Amino acid sequence: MTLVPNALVDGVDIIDTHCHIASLDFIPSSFLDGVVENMRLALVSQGIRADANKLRGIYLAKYQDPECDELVAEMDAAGIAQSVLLAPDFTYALEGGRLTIEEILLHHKSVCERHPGRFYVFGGVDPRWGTDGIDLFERSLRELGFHGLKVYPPCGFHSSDPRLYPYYEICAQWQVPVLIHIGGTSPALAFDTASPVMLDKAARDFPQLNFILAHGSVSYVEECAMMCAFRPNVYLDVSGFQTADLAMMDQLFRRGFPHKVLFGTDWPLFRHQGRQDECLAKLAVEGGPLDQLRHHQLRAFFGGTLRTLLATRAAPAAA
Amino acid sequence: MSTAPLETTVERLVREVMPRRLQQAPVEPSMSLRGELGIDSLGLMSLAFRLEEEFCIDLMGHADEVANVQTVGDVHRLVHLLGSSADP
Repeated sequence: MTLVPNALVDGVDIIDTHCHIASLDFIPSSFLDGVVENMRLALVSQGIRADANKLRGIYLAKYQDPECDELVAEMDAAGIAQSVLLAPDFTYALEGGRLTIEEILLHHKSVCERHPGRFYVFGGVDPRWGTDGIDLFERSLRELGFHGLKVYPPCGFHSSDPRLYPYYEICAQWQVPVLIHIGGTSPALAFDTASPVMLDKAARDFPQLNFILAHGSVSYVEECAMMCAFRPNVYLDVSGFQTADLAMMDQLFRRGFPHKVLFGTDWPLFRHQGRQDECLAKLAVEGGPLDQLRHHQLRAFFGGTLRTLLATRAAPAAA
Repeated sequence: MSTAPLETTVERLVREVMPRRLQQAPVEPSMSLRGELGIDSLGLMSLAFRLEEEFCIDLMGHADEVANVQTVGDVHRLVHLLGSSADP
């Protein structure tokens, strides 16, 4: 059953801007160990003797969908036509990964082939891999058919780091967007590189390139709003809204750039909060943040804007 | 281990993790833990550990079932399942 009335987004196929493949093949266990430890501490504060291994087992039970079959089923139930799969590269910064970044990107390609027409992929490559990394990212666009770049600053570089510029140049040539993680994450990683304002130099240096600030209604909301309001090439997604105060999103929509705010969920990070249809229902609740939007703004939010950003993709002319 | 009827004990534990604004709401087997009873992911984890302690059951080998619990009735069934499998 789709909980979101079709009339709410009549005339547009919903696109989820922000999903991941649910598998420890792509997220190192050390990343999730930190997430689970924070959860354990919260339970201990309630007087619960939460065994870390048990907690980890329950949490990871929702991380077993490497072919995205469950994700597609949830998308179907929620009326989500397509999703963007983001493949951040943790292989340089974190130990314990099972696959190389090349193997990770190739698997994402196979998922696209398994579910034709349902997924776009933004590949991530840590800029410290040098020229091999740049070549791999260029291949991800040319040979694998990917549609953008995922940048994960908590791995240890900010979003205007000069080592990212070759990647941004490739994205500009291919006219594909860059999606950048903003804010806190696993305690295994750094937080001091994840401010949206750190993008400002790159956004100025690449005015023809579109950037999407991930979790912009959850983390550094005021700074994200400033960037979107004044930088023409900066957008944000609302992924992570499941655990945040929706009043923040409500305020964002009143800032004069509702056309730059993109729907996203961060599946499977919040699977324990509910299925995709339940996430949509939370947004669509009467009196919620979407109530103030007009029809064309709803269509932009649920996929119209993102579809425009993705549609410009084109192979650069041969030199 | 509680000697009260299973459903009564489950309702008490569910109410312990429900938000205070919903404390006056009825708790029926068909009600969804997240949507209707407002329990967040941490609350669900908390409920799982409270169930384990209250009913002396082991969740470790049943993470899939625990993760897929949706309604109060699902909790009843899970406790029945794990409770009966724990009997000597």
